Amino acid sequence: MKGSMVLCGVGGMGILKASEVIAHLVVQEGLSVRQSEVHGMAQRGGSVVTHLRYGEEVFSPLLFRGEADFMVAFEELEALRYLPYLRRGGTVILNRLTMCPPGFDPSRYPKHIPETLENAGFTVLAVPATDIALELGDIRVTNSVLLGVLSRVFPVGTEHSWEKALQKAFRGKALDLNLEAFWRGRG
Amino acid sequence: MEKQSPPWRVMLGNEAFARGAYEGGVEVAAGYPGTPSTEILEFLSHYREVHSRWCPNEKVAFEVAAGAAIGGKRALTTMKHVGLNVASDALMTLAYTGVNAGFVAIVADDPGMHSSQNEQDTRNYAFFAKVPCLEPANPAEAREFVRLAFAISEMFDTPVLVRSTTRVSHSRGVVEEGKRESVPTRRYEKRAEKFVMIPAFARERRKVLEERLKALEQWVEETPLNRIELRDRKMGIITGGVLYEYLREVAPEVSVLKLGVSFPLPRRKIREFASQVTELFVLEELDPVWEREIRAMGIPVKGREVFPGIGEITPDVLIECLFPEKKRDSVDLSHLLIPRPPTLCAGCPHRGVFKVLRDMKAVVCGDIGCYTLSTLPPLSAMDTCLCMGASISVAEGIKLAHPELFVVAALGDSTFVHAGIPPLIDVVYNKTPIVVLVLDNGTTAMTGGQDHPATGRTLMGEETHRLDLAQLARAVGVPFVETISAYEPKKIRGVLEKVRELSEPAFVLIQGPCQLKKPRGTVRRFRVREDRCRGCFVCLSAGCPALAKNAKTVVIVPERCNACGLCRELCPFAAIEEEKV
Repeated sequence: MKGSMVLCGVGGMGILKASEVIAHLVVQEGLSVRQSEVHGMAQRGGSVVTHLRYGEEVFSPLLFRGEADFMVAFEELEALRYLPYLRRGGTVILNRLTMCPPGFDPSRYPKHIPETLENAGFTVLAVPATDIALELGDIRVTNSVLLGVLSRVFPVGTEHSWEKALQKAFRGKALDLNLEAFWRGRG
Repeated sequence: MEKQSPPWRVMLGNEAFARGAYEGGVEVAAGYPGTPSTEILEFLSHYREVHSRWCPNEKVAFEVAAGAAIGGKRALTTMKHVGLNVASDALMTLAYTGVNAGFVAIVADDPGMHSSQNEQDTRNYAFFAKVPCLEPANPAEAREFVRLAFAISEMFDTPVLVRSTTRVSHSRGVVEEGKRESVPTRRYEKRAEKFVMIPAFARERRKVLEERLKALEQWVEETPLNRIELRDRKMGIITGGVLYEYLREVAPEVSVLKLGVSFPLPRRKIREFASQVTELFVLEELDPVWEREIRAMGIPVKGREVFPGIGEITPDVLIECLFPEKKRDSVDLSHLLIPRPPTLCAGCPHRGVFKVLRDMKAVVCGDIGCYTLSTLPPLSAMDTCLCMGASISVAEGIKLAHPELFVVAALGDSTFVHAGIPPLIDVVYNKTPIVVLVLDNGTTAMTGGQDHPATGRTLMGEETHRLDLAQLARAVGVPFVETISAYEPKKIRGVLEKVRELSEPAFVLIQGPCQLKKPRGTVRRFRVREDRCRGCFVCLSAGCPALAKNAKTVVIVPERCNACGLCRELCPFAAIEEEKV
């Protein structure tokens, strides 16, 4: 068993936390994990990406181009930005959210991103995770909705181990809401 | 049945550094925040057995830790690469005096400048100061190496550097935890000939330094931190740090000499390895530090002619340079992209002042921290940004060159305390008529919100004296000192118009808390009245990420808005108003 994924979006969307949950999950299943993330300046509303690689033996915390099996994209434009890391035919968990970078004319924002990805040969699971999170009362659980979607196709972990991984990352009320969001995503 | 919980956890590299220091019996830890090093002390502060503290700057932190080690307790200091420039004065001579109890400095480099103003290579400091430098490759080694570093420091009576990089500090991996070593405090005795570096004593310690280096050169040949891994003999690569991890992944078949010690180099081991492989490479990020040494030994080696000396060496760069046959097929749709650089946060209270300064055509000498995010259009606010505290002194110099210009130094509260006070004294002493603007957001924001002397709280969460910045400016003799709220751009403009005409220095403290420190969920909400918005887009000139262009008008993106009200202040047609909630 060996695999990898890329998670991407815009600073402040809970991408680091989502990566942390996945890292907990794969380790619970007896695998090793390496993960890379960005802090500091890049988090200020800029483009954010984390790489995650797992398996019996893992060394590099960074992916190679064309390697990742999965992409979890919290925003559509960011899916395009980090697409080169995804292997041909890989799976994109896509949040149906478009955020035009400040200062740019929205007409420049690429249209029909889900279709573009499908036409390029990727499997796309597009979900309005932010809308679902807002429905649940907290935009911050967008990440757990997307993890729920990922859990449908991710080869590692049972429902129970996903719940355990979420329990390691969240506490109290936040945990309840994130579990609810996860189940909404899992469907 | 549940799987048994193992004695290991997934840890961030910086958490593992903290864990290693804790297990290594550290008792005093001091630092100044700086990406990618910040979280080491934050994690360490959770261990109540360790006295952890933020200091005003890296030099103070380094010296506090040095003093603790001289006093007899194991001590740690942490900083980013440029922080060591500030602390280097202490390092260069602590190398002479040596320590008493173990002293370790963890210094984190930032190849590729993810969040830095330059990409200097800390290994140069090890060569320069003649102190050993360890270089972990992953979080597990981060823990192990720091623990060992304390023992090495005591064994050789020397400060020890541990070099990290962004990809070690900010990557996660599985780390095995151990128990905390119980290290008794050493006896303190006065030893002037060792710790007072007057020339007569320093000349003696200079010799000790060379003898110590010889002993270290013996030790590096034996330590398992440097190891030869022989596989296919056609290609041998000398490497260390996270590059070892990339190499194992990209080319598991090649032979490797993994250097866990960056300095001094194990010359015998290098010769041995070179003789066992057909073609020798040295893979190192940033400067060709090892390559120079290996070439000087007369060993043919390929380094810079194959690998770039600028930026990060990622697995893709490694593949590109040495293993092009391993390149994988991928899809690139980058022609569709729009860049998304980091910006000042929506609702940052200090956005407005930059618009005022630009409208007044001020020359703005900026400084390190969040406010560099005002550099790019539409704010285009900065003229210079050099290093911590330089806003004030560079502004002085520009004023000397062009007295007719309106020259302003703009810096944050934490940066001001770090390195802004001596230049402020210079402004007064030499009577330079510039304006110093301290944009006080009550935290060290860019690194994630750390306390500092003007917040009134310590790293361990204790209340303490809160440094009053305006009072400090008066105390050093600034003739004009004023404090204004950041939410009043018109008043700020008024004060700046006034000080522009002064022929003496001015200090203006502009206060508005970092919006990332505010509780989530604001009660105020703003909206655009479409009937009044004429599409002049003046409001967009402040670059707030919560504002977006619609077809003919502006809209406020509710999820991004932090309700600072700046856009309402800027709108000439009163089209933006507060919603009644």
